[in-house]
Amino acid sequence: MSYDPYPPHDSSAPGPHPHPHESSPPHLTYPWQPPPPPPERRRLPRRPALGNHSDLRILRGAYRRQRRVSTLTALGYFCLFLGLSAFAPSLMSSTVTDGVPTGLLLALVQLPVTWLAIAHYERTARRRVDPLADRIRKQAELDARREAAR
Amino acid sequence: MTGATATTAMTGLRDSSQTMSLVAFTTVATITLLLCVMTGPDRDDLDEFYTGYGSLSPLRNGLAIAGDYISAASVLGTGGVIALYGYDGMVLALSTALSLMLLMFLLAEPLRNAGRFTMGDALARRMPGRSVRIVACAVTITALMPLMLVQLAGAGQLLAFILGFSSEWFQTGCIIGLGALMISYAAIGGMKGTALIQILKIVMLLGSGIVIAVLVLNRFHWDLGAFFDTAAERSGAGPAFLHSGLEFAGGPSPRLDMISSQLTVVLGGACLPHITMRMYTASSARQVRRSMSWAVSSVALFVVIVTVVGFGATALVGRATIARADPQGNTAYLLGSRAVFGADVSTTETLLFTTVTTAVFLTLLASVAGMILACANSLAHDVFATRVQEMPVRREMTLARYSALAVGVPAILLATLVQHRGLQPLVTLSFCLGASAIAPALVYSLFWRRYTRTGLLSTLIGGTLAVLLLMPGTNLVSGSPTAAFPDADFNWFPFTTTGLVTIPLGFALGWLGTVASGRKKEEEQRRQYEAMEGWILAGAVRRDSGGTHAETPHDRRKSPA
Repeated sequence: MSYDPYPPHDSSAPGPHPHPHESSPPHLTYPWQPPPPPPERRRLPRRPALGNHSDLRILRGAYRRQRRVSTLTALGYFCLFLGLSAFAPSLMSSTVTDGVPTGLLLALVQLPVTWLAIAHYERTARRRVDPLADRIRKQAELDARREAAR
Repeated sequence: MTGATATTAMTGLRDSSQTMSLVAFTTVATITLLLCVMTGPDRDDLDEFYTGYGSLSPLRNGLAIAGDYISAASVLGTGGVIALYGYDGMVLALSTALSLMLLMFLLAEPLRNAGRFTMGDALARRMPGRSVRIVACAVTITALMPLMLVQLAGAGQLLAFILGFSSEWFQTGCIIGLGALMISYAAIGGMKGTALIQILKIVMLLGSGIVIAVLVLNRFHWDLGAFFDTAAERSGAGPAFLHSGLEFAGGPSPRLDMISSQLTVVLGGACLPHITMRMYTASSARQVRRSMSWAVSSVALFVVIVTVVGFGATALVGRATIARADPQGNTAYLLGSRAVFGADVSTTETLLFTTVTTAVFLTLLASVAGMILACANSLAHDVFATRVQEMPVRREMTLARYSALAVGVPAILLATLVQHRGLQPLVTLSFCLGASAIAPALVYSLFWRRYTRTGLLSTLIGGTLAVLLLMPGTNLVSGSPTAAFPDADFNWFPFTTTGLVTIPLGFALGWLGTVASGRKKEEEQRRQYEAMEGWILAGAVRRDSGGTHAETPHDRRKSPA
C-alpha cells in the first residue's frame, strides 16, 4: 500500500480522543522555546458507502457481461452439438476428410476451442475486470482501516 | 463376480507384472502416507488445515483441482463407456471437461470470494444461520457418499483384477484396507496433504496416459480414419459406433434421454463439494482463475487420452472381450493399455504398464480421500463448530479429524455391501444431486439478489428429495440385465438420469421459495446482498460482514499493490 497516507507507525499517534491532561494547552516552562505544534488532525477523504459506489456498478456490469458471454458461448456450442447429434444423424455421420465422421470431428474440435476460450477469458478478465476489482479492494481496505482507527 | 471373469480375460498379465504392481502399490501407499505426515498442518491453525493457507502456486493448485475432479469413476467409467458405446462415451468425456470450464467461467471467482472453508460458508455468507449450514452439510454428504461407495467398491474389484485374485474375501479386505488408508490421508494431511497426493496422481495419470495414447495411435500409423474404422468394426456395431444413440437405445425417447444425461453431467459434475472446496484454497480471485486454467487444460488433455485409449481398447481387444471382463466396461482403460504392448512383453513395457496400474490405484486412493475430506470438513465446520459460540481451534481440528473417521467408516461398510451390484446408478445419483440441488443453490445465492433463506432451503431440500424419489425408477436401477437389480422391474421413469425433471424443479423451487417468502424478506435480502456485493465480486473486505479475521491479512499480503 504505497500510497497509504498513514504509515503504520503513525497509528499510535494521538487520535480523536486525546488524553485528559493534554486537553488544556501545556504550560510553557521555557518561554523561549516555541510552543509545540498542535497535534495533526487526521483528515479523511469522504467517500460514499461501498454498496452504491459507481466503481462497483461498473465492475458488476463488466463481470456480468464477461460471465454471460463466456458461459453462454460454451454452453450454447455444446447444446448445438448435442442437438445435432440427436436430431441430425445424417449430417453427423457424413464423412468430411480422411474417413472421420463430421460428428467425431466436431467433438474433437471442442478441445482446442476449450483452450482458446480459456485464453480469451483470462485475457478479458485481466484487462477489464481485474483493475476495477483491485481499485475496489483497495478502497475497501482503506475504509476498513479508517473505521478501525476510530 | 467380476474378479473371476477378469482373471481369465487377463491371461496375458503374467506373474512378473502382478508382482511388480504389488510392489508398486505398496511403495505408493507408503510414500503418500509419509508425504501426508510431512506436509500436514503443523500448527493448530484452522486456515492451514482447511485451506493449506493458499500456499500452493496456481499450477499446483490447478493440478490438485484436476486431480480431485478426475476421479477413478471418470477414468474407469468414462473409459468403459467410450469402449462400449463409442460416440456417446466421447460426448460424456467432453461434458466432463465442459463442466469444469463452466465452473471456471461462472462460479469459481465469486465462490472463492464468498466462501471460506466449506460450501456452508459460501451459502451462509448471505444468510447466516444454523439451518442453512446443517442442510448444506447434509446435501454435501448425500451427494458425495454414493461417489465414495463407487470408488471404494471399485477399488476392491480393481485390485482383484490387477493382482489376479478372485476371492470375495480378498476384495472385501481390499476395501477395508484401502478405506483405512484414505481416511488417514484426509485426517492427517488435511487440505495440503491431499493436494500433494492429487498432484502426484494427476501427473502420473496424465504422463502414463500420454505415453499409452501415443503408442495406440502409433499402432495405427497416426491414421485417425483407420483408427476409428477399426474400432467401429471390432465393436460389432459397425458405423453406429461412431454416431450418437448406442448407449441410450433402449428407452422410449433416446434423444431426450441423451441430451438430458449429458446436460446433467455438465451442470452437476463440477458443482460437487469436493471440487468447489478447492476454490477456497486459492489466495485471491486471480489465483483461482489461473488455477482453473491449468485444471481445465489438464482435464481437456485427459479427455483426449481417455478417448484414444477407450477407442483403442475396442479396436485392439474387441468390444465382446471388454464386456465379458466387466459389463460396465470398467476395466477397458487397463485392457486397452495392456493390449498396446502386444503378445510378448519386454521388461520396459511391463514397467510402463505397472505405471498405468499404479496411476489408477493412486487415483482411487486420492479421489476418495478428497471426498472424505470435503464431507468431514463440512461436518466439523458447519454442524459441530457452529453449535457453540466460539469453538477453540484445537478442538475444531480434532473434530474434523474424527469426522473423517465418522464419514469414512460408514462409507467402507456400505461399500462392502454394494460391491457386487452395478455401480452406475450411484455415480448418476451424485451427478444428479449436484445438478439439481447444489448448482441452483450456488448460482442463485451468488448472483440473485432477492434470493431468500426459504428459497435456498427449498432448493437444497426439494432438489435432493426429488432426485432421491425419482432415482429408483430410472433405467439403471432396474428393468434391464445390466441394471443394479436385474431381477426386479420397477422402472417407471424411463430415463437414465433424473435431470430432465429435477434440474428445472431445483431452479423452480428456489424461485418459488423466494417469491413465497414475501416482498419484505426479498428487499431485506437485496439490501444484504448489496452490502456484500463488493466482497463477492471484488473480494473486497468490509468490516461489518464479520469474516475479516481470516482473510484480510492474507489478501493484503498477497495482492500486488
